[in-house]
Formats: sequence, C-alpha cells, structure tokens
Amino acid sequence: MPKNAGAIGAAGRVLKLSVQRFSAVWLWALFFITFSITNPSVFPTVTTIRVVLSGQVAPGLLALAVLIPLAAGAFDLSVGTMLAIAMVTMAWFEQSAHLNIVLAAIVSIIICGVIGFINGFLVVRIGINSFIATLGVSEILSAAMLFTTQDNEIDNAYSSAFQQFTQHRLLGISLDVYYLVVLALLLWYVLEHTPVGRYLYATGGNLAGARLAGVQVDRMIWGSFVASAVISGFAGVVYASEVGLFNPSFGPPFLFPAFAAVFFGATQIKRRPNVWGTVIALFALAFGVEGLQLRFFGNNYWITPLFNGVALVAAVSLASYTGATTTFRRLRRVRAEPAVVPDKADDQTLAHNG
Amino acid sequence: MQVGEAALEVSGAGVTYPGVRALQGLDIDVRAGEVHAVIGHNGSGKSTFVKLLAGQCRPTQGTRIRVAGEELPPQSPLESARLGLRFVHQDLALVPSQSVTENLGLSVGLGVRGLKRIDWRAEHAAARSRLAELGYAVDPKALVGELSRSTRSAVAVARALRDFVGSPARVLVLDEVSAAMTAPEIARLLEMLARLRATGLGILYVSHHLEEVLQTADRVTVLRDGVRVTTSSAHTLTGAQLADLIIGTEQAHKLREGRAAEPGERDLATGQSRHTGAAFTVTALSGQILRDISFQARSGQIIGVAGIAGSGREELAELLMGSVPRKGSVLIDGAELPPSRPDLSVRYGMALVPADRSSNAVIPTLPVRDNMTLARLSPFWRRGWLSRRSEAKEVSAWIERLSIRGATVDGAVSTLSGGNQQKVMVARALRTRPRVLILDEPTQGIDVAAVADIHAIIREVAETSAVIILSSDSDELASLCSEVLVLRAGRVAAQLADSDVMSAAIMRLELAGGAGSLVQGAESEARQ
Repeated sequence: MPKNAGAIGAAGRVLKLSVQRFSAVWLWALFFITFSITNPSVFPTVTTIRVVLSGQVAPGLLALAVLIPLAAGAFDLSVGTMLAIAMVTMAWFEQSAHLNIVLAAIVSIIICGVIGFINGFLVVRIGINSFIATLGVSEILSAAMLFTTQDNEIDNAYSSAFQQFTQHRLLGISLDVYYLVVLALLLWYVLEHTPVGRYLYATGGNLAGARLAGVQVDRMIWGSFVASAVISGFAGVVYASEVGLFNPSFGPPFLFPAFAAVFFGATQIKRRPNVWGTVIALFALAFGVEGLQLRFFGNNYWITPLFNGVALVAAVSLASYTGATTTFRRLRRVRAEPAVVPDKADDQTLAHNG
Repeated sequence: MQVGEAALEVSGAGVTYPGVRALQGLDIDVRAGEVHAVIGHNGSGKSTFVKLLAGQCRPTQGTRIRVAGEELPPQSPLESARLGLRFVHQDLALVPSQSVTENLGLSVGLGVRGLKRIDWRAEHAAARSRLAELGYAVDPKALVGELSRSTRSAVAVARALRDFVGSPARVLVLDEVSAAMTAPEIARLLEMLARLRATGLGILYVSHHLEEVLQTADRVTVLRDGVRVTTSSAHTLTGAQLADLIIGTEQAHKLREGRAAEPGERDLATGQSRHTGAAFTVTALSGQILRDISFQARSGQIIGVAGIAGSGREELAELLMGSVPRKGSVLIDGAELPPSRPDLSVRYGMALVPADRSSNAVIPTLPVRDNMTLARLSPFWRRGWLSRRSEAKEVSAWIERLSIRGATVDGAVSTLSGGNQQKVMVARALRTRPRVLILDEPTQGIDVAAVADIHAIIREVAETSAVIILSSDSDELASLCSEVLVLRAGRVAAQLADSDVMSAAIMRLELAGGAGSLVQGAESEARQ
C-alpha cells in the first residue's frame, strides 16, 4: 500500500482510502452513535460493552484460528467442531478420568493439535483440497462428539472454580477478553513481523511462486493447520469456562461467524486476511447485532445471522467493486500443479515481434 | 469434391499487429487430397496465418481467401467453419474428465432436440465408427484424460471433421499438433493423415519439425518473418535445404563460412574436458521428456539452453530446482542437491527466475517489498523482529539499481509492467547471492528497453556466478552465451561453444542436424 498520508494535497484520497480500508471502524462508530441515540438507557452502558466483549471471545479466537490457514491459502472448516471436541474431552478427562482441570484442558488442546496435524497430513501429503479434507474431518469429529455425549447436555461439566479462569475481572474487564487481545497481538507479531508470516502469505498468494523462491510451502500449510487446531482447542477451553456446561449443539454454528469476520476483515487495512481487520470486523458486527437485539427485545434470534450475512456480502462487494479482488480470487483458487504450455512461446513472440 | 481441385486458395494475405507486419502478401493453396505443410521458425507468421483462416484476426486490404470457390468474409469464425475450414490446435481443446462421445458432441451437440433424452447407445456407436474411420479402435465411453496423446489427437480431429450445420469439412488445419508428442505417437498421427488424405480432404499441416513435414507433406511452404520464402514439392527437398530455407540463405552462408559443417559433434566429444573447477555439475538428468542431460558450468560463464517447443527445454528449470521429480544428480560446488526440495536448492546457492511470471513467480497479493525479499529475509531479522526500515532501504536500492520503473517499496507488484515485474523477480533471485542463477525465458513478452536492462544485469551477474539461460529466442542466446546446449526430443543434440554460438546455428540445430543425420534421425525414430 502506498503511504498516502504524507502526500501533498491528497487529503481527499486519504479520506476515501480510510473509508475503504477502515469501513468497519466507520460502521462501528455509526452503530454506536445510532444505538446510543435510539436506546440511550440500555445501549451505551458498561454492561453492554462487557457483554459484547466477552461474548466475542470464543468466536474471535476461532476467527484468528481460521485466519492462519487462510493466509496460507487453505480453508479449515473443522474449527467449530474442534471447539466442541475440546469441550467434550475436557469434561470427560475431568469427570471420568478425574484429571485436574488444568491438565484436562492441556490434554484437550493437545488432542486438537493432533487432529490439526491430521488435517495437514490430508491436505499436504495426500493432496486433498483443504475445503474437502477439513469438511470431512469436521463431520467425523461431530460423530465422535455425539457418540460420547449420546446427544445429551453435560451440566456442571467443569468445576466452578474454573469459571474464574475467564470471569475474574482485571481493571474492570474479564480475563477472557485479555486472552483474545494477547492472542491477537501474538498472531499480529508472527504474521507481520517474522519471516514465517511472510512465508505464510506468500504461500497463500502464489503457491508455485513461493515454492520456487525457496519457501517450504508444505511445512507452512501443515503448520497452519496445527496452529489453527490448537487455537480452536484453546477457544473450547475458554468457552467451557465461560458457559460452564456442554451442549451438543455447540460447534458448527461457530464456523460461519469466524469466516465472516476474517473475510470482512480481509477488506480492511491490508486487503488480505489480517489480524486487526478481523478483530475490528468482529466487534463492529457484534455491536451492531447487540444494538439491534436490544431494539427488538423478545424474538431476536434471527438478527445475528441476518446481520452477519448482510454485512459480509456488503463489505466484500464494496472491496471487489473498488478493485481489491485479488485476495478473494486467490482464496477461491484450488491448488493446481503448474502446467507446461509449450506453445505459448510461439504465440507471444508472434504477437509482440511479428 | 474431386481430388486435385483447389480446396483453399489464399492470395495477398496480410495481417498487421500494432507496429509489426506479422504476415505479408501470402499466396498459398491447398488441394483436395493433399497435405500441404507450412513450416517456419518462431515468429515466422505461421500461427498468425492459422488465426487468419479461423477468422480470429483482421486481414489487411487485398487479402482474399476462398474455400472451395466460395469467398471467406474477414473475421468470421462461423463462416470459416461453415465453408469447411476445421482446426485442431496443439492443446486439442478436449475436456479430459468427459468421455470420448461427450467430447465429440462438444461443438455440434449430441443428437437430441428439446427435452428428449440422449440416445447414448447410438451416440457411442457413432463415436466408435468416427474414430474407426481414422484408424483408431477406441472405447467411446473411455474418459479422454485417460487416453494416450495420439488417441486424444484423433478424438480432436474426429470432432473437427464433423459436419457443421450440415456443411462438410473441406480443409483440416493442424496447428503444431505434434509438438509435445513422442516419435511413435507422431508416426501414428501421420498414418491418420494419410488415411484422411485418401478421402479427398485437404490438409494444412503447420509445424516446425522437419522430419514429419518431409515424411508426410506433398508440398511445403516455408515462411520467414511473415513472408513466404518458397512453396515446393516435398519430394524434391532435403532436410538440409529445408533448414536453410527456414533460417534464410544469408544466415546459412554465414554459418558455413564461420565453421565446418558439423560443429555440434566435435564439441560434444571434447566438451567435458574443457571445464575445470566447475561450480555446477549436472549428470544424467532425466524428467518427463528430458533424458540423460549432462553439463557443467563454472562461475563467470553464461550457458544457454535452446530447444523448440516439446524439446524438453520447458521442464529443465524445474528439474534443476527440484520442484518436480527428477532422476540424475545436480551438484553445486561438489555438494549434491537433494531432490524435491527447492528450498534446499536455494540454500545451496541456486536461484531461479521462472518463465511463467504470473503463475510461477510473482505473488500478486503482496507488495514489491515482500515479493523482492521473500527468498532471503535473514539480513532484516534482528532481535526477533523483521526490520522494515532496513528492508525498505535495501528494496529501494534494488529498485534504483535495476531501474524498476513505477515501483515503490510498498506499492503493488501486479500493477507494474511485465518487464518491471520481471526485474523484481530478478532482484529476488540476485538477493540470494546465487552461485548458480537459472533464468527461464528471461525476456519473454517484455518491452525492448527492459530486455536491454535485463541482459546487462545478466552479464554483470555472470562475473561472479554461473548463469544458465533457457530461451526460445536464439538471438538472445547468441548475444549472451559463451556456450549453448541445443535440446532436441529430450536430449542434448549439440553443444556449441565460443565462435560457434550463432543464432542461425542454434536454430538450425534445434530443427535437425545436417542432411545425413536428419535421415538417420528420422529412421531411428520410426524404428522406436
């Protein structure tokens, strides 16, 4: 991105650019002002802010999880069920194996890491399209989850002291929000300030090109699946502490909001999947949803999906319209072997040199 | 239509691309029951001629094309098909995941109207008999992707020959169909052409393979620089004469005066002992097409690799890099590069500037900075942080050094012109300080000024590294290289060195050796 801020007489361009690159921030501000005016007594309160922040921690962690393979050009559709698996295994290790809750959490995260390794194996070694591989694995995980829970809710699954892991307040904000912030910072550091981040984005931008430049693309993709799984497992642990029970309907419904945040976020700041874009998009949407829900008290379950869907389509349309299409084209691209086209030489010389 | 009648008559045909005359005043005709070959080097105008016939480019004033006596209006692909011109191009344009029958139905449809179901039994039977007419026994239900290349070409021909809105095919145009085929496959193709000729079809056979043309054609038309050099009976021509016609008499003379007739063989024999202290040694390298390629290069040397389409030149770069499976060994300073590990090839000192920029090199989603520094980030990695400032400094130094016009450190790479994108790729490779730099078609499709810049950079790099240039442009190789390997049908056909490295010599050897070796070559290929 050209640094336009310093350019002379480019104030208009800067404004236009910031609208394009930070549309979610403007949207966030718009929601905040609108709902503060329409619902002055309930919307602009500390409680609302706390509810929205804590409510977005698990979805936010999952969004950061899918961001990593997506940067490398691969889809991980198993993050939702991965979260559920972490919750179930944790409950099982604590209740049936009588493991300490901390150990149970760690073991659950490790199990998720192993599943992520399997995802990577299927994509890199067997060569299955990541979309298909992780979709399949996700379904298998669902089966495992339903088998162990027999489709029953597990109440009081986790010891009550464990709630303090996320609900203890520090400077007025509960701990889980800090986890999201810390992970976002860590991921931002890795993606933007280390060679690994460069290699991941290069792999996602042009697999063959990155490979010929010396990037270990297989290792990048494989590693991204493990990282994504471990983060999803951690999200499961956090969510377990937040809600204190497990319900078999947990899991897959988390998938869409995570991808929505990343795709919306990819239209922000850098025009590619990125950490702060994702976080901004996540909270802009969350505040919008919260405001609407307070407005339509009662039957308001339809608001979240409607709102997320409309915002995602609108944001990506805007980005495509303004020319930032490459990211999305690249995301659609299926891994393909480089083909040799011998005749090209002849045609090109002809067209250019006669 | 009677055998011997004119099926296609072209007079005064010309095509002009912006700034270039691709084709000028071409007169040519194809008779029914005749194979008429059109032959010429890269850029001779043969592809343009095919496009003209297909109605895909605009003819200049005075161009007249008649098919079986009827005038073909300009730029009308549908009329071209209706009058009976049919085309099969090198890529065959088949759908590999569909059956033979389905592929045959792609252009004219399967025999149903409205919502009736397809009568598959009848369609399969029709497909089987269409291919039987061409001498192929093929299961019509077989997927095209699972067929051999020669059978696939038969499917493409069978499809091309189907009636188009009730009008039969009169002239079949085969455009470089044999380029990626092996010798036995080509033999099969030529057999099919003989059958078709016997049915009274006119065949226009575009190629740059001398052997096939002399074996199959009744008449040969040679094009050079967009102009017809000659049309003569194929039976009176020898391979050597034909090669001279393609290259041009002036160039051919220069070649003879410059050297004794067979420069290649002498160098092949003594080539090994010429180099001492080789930095780069390739031994018995084989891939899909290439067989047993061996050569050496030391720093300070620019080695060229020439070869026409299908010679195996296209796969050499990735074989050396290790990004596709290979046999044989590749050594840099005596250390063997592990296969299938392009990352280690880079670490051992190899760098590649790939031929197909957009699919194999440029990362369009990242700015110039990230593109340029991707292969070597270590200088900016300080105390656990990539120093963007020192990176920006180095990137802007490269932008200046290679005069990459329009580029800024954080600007998009995809909006740069082809030549400037290529310079970014060259910078990416040079930043790794390679012991061996491989450039695959380094100047293809880029503007003249950028070509000169890139050639200057290559010469500079060659002072400290071994440079390998793979190119279809023989002038480029002649002007840069001290030694050129000429590939033909997957093998090193000749090795030119020092004063023998001339554009004409390269072109000549790409096509075939002298007259004697040509006949021998053709015979040995036929025996295979």
